[in-house]
Amino acid sequence: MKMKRPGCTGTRRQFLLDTGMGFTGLALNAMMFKDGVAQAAPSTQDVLTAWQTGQAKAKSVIWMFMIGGTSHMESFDPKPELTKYAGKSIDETPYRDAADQTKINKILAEPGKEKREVFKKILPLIAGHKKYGRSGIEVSDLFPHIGGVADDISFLRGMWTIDNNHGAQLTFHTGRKIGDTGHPTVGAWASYGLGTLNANLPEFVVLGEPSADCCGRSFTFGSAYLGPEYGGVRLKVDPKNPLSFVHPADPKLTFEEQREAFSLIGELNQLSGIDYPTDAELNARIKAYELAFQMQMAVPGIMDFSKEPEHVKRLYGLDRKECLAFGSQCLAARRLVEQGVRFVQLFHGYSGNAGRWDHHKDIAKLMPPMCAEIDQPIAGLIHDLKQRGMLDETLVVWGTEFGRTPGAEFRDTNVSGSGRDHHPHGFTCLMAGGGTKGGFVHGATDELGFHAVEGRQYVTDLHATVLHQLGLNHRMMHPGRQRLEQDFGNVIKEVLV
Amino acid sequence: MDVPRLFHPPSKPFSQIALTLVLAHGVAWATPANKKSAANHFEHFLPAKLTDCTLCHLPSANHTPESLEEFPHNAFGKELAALGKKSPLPERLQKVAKADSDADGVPNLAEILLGGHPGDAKVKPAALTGLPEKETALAAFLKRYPWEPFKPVKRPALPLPGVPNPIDAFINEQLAAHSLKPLGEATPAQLARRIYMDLIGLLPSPQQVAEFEKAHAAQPELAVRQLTDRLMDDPRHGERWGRHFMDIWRYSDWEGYKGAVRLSQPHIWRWRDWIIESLNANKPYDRMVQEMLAGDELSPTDENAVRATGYLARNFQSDRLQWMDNIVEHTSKAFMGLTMNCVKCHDHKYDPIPQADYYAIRAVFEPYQVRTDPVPGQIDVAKDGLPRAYDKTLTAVTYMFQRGDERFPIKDKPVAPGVPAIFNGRLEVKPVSLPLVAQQPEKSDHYKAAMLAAVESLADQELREMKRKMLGQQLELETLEDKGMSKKSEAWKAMALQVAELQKQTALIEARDEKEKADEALKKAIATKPLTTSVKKTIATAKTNAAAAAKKLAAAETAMKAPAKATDYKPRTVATYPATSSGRRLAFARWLTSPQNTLFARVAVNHLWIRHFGVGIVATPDDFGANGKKPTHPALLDWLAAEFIRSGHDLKHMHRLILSSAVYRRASASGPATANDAVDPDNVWYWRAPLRRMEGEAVRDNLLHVAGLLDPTFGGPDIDSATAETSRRRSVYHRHAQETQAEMVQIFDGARPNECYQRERSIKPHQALALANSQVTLDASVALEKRLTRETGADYNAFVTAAFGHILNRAPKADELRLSTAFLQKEGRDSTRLRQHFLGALFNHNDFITLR
Repeated sequence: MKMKRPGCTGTRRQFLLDTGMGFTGLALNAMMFKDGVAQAAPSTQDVLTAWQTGQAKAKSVIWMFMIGGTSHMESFDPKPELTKYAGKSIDETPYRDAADQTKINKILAEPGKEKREVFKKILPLIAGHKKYGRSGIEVSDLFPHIGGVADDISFLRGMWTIDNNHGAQLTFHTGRKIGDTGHPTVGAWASYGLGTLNANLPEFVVLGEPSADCCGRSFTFGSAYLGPEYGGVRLKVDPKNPLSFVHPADPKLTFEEQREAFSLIGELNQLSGIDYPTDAELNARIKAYELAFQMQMAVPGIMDFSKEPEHVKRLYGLDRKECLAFGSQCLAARRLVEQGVRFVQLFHGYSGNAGRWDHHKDIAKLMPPMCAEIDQPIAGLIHDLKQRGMLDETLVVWGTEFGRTPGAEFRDTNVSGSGRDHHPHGFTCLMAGGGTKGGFVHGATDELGFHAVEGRQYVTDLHATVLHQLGLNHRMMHPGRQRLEQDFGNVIKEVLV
Repeated sequence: MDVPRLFHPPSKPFSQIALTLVLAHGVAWATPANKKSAANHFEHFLPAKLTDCTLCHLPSANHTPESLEEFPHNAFGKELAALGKKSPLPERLQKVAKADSDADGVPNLAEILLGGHPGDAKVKPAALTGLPEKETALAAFLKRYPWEPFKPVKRPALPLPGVPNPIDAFINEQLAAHSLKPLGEATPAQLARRIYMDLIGLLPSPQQVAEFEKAHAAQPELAVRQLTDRLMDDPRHGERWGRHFMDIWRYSDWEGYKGAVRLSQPHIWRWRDWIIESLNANKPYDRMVQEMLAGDELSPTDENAVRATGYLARNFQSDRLQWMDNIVEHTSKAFMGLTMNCVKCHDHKYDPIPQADYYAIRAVFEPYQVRTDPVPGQIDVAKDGLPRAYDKTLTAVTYMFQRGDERFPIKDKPVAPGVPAIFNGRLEVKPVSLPLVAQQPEKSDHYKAAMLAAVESLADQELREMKRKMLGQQLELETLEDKGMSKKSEAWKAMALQVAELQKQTALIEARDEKEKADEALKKAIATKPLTTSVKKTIATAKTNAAAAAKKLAAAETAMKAPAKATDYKPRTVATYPATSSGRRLAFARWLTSPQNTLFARVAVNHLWIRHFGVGIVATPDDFGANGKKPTHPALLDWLAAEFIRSGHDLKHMHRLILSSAVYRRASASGPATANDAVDPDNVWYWRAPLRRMEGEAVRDNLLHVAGLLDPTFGGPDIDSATAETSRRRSVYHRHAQETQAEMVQIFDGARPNECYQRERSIKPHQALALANSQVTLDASVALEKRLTRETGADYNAFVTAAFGHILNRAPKADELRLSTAFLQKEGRDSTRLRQHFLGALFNHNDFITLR
């Protein structure tokens, strides 16, 4: 439940009502937390926001984003025809229609600007693939662990997007192009629509280094006009320093002293608020202090894995050097979700610019180790959620801004045909848990992996599906703001249980 | 203009998107003059369902539209279109207002105003009640002060007579029109806090507040004016406003990996100091901008002015294309309030700016490059130098790119430097010939002096003396050469011979010294035990060096045997740059700062307004075009712009004017909500003063300042931002780049170095942690505790009152006093720590960072 904005009523009494819940009860909450009892949100969960449908299938979302554009053919949409026609031009294959330039140009929202050369000389698959599980879904050999949980996953092989360059990272999160930064991301909508389950933690957490400046940076987890409280809060998977300034500069400061100081801040602010009953910012500031104090205690504990059993850590690959970073993010995500965080957004592949998944060259050498970084952690997460009975209420989404070209890239001598270019016309995303089907394939690209030909889904369709499973009307609006049809997307009913 | 064809969407969901795009931007494909014109004309009188598109067009059942032609006109649109596109839309609307296009018995205008549809007979208002009132209101609305950003600034007449400050005449007019009752004046203490913060960015001390209160009680107007003048004379005024302009002008320290510069330039802080000094000197704003864009052409020998071109040097980027994009985009946003970036690829969708304009501005900058000139006292530009702009390639050609794609330049039509066509301006480009030191900065007197000074620090006395003599004669010869001495003259030959002789002797001494050093190193290396692989390597290198030194010495000795010849003279190699600058930037800067650029003064005064009121008269300071926000007070903006121009672009005059207005001095809060809150909850019409929050820099600076810890050192090289927690310098001096910023400043919405036309004002838990847990807050609390305890002794009330005075600039209320003294008197506790924690809490008080 969202609290009423104090500005709406603006009386002394209302101000105290609005803010009174916090620091007066803070001492008690803090004690409870120390005793290991998480603080329940002060809201009554049976009161629905205007956007809640009452049909929630999932409580939380873990949203993983691969920065740079993961090849779909070498991950979850294997295309043996590429190996068969290796070295040939697309024009020499039975699928020559795919590379028809006019057809391609019509797909992108701004064809002129985004025009890229079509590389026709086919690059063979860099890895084999096989069928997994009862469903027999084909997965690249670079992802044996994810293959192992294929029966828990919906493979969305008909994704497409509108930006042919890495601005598509922002597009993936808002549905808009890079220049159009004023729009909330899917996580912000979830946070806005749902509110919190745990007042000790932000509703929307971001782990990992987000997209770089080129490609959306903080806009990839921003809340735009929904207001700052709904944006993603960045945390680090480091118990010693999970967020900036989490530890008091004074090493001698005791918990009791700090609690007193925060209480005093809250009380003084409230006294000041009596004179300024219409000051909504003061109200927000008081709440920010409450959350800060709670987070300061809760977050280091969540990022401290020392109490996790070894076999669980191994599940996420924490004993393997290559898996440690992303495995830790996945484990932290589970622990955050366990504590009631609504939306955890994980980034993988930050490079300071386009992203480490951007394999324009040497894909055969560069891609396999990156797959190893995420394969076991993701499979481990799905497995762990399942064994804890959490998978049903946790929706896991895996995505990237676009796929990669079937043809080898020859943009300049530096690239020389050893990699694949950006490919927005067809790529794959995954969904698991949270009321989605397992062992299910939705959509398909053509034989070369060029165009999404069946089950075509635009990126905002993923957003719509996520929000729908969270029990939200995906056509949510914010007063005074326009959204385009494109922004809403359509719920992908096919993948729902 | 062609109607662009839409694309073939391959499947249904996409078609829906395409349809939406067409509906949302449909009119954008009509002629530029028509874009958004209906919505602009009617503004809030146009009901939501009648958009720019649906007012005149029918929706189409075709889900795969190929062009706008598939959205035919409705009856109203047909009638309007029949009038032709020659006359402006308002005139044509006027002509069809009383007609009834859809023949449903209700005239067109009545349908628009009352919620029907002028082109759809099925949709019409139930009754015509209230029509005359609406028509009157529309007529009054249409007569409002016109917002014409592309027309020259004219000074509007004051709407209300007898108002002492013209600003208030415009503000009061709107307040009256909206039946709002402005609040009274803020308390003198609040006012003092605002004025100190606005002019120097640092809070007043309780004593300074008391002084102002006293002066204010006697003569309020005079008190404000005197305080304003005094603070504008304070050098910290430049630091405060320097940071504001650094936001707009994208100040960034350099960035890169190891030695490679990726963005901006090393030593760019010299431009920052120029900004601060220029503001303190009240250099006219137009002159400042001219120096930033063309200081090297305007005053090529004035290193102080050349510093200003740091604006251009800062735009350095390893990718030239991005570099040019940025300079065009941000020069346009900062000084014209126009978004030119989209125009790179296509004509502007909203503003009357064709694609060619982008390239005309790019051509202005095409020749420029960045270099680092030596500064007095330093010959090594890696250690210190002056990053600056200069024209490197006078023949640089600019081509338009097809659809902005650099792979497809239109080579048969080079673009000449120019200004956006809408302004009807022309650039008078005259090449500027540059004096010698601008071409060869290493021939400056200070560089020569630094060379001679470097000689004095040589250890070998013999070498020192020889080199001093040699260099002295060589520089003398060089000067004569530059003055035109012929190399064929006997005088030259005689001098060259002398220098050559000295050079030979110097070389010999140098070679001898080097040999000695190399031998020493070799001896040391051989003596090193145990003999590891790395030691072996060192020995090998030392051997090579020693052999080379021996060879060099032998050569120097051989050279000594032959008598010197004049032709042996080796002149100094000095960096040499073009003797002429294209003059393009100077011409552009002169145009840009002239009233011909109708937006220059408007954009500037809007930026000033933002920093005094937290929000602009135009809320989008970088976009004064059709897609930006309309000004709330267009007449006021024009008046301020006219006054700014009249004053000779005098910034301090504008501050004085704004600070003396009643609207600036208004109270910010009314206690419980009033009728004003209901009519104007967002305070669009300034019935109260807006609440503001300190920027990140100000938060950190004031923690230090209030505690008496702030280091007043002025200017100088950027300070490692990683030390921001322990450094005592003002935040403006900390390194500020994309990847390195003072963390606390950044958490409080610090400027994004790449684009920040105004600060955001978020409220995040991170801010609470930063302010509560930072070392700066701790140090400030400890220092202030010492001082206040010394001053107030054991008197708890006095301690609390003093603390409120220092941190919040007000006295505690009775309940605050009670709460605070109770906190300080907790039993069995360390009294000093309690006091420190109390002060820490006050630093975290919302009223510390808030300007009420």
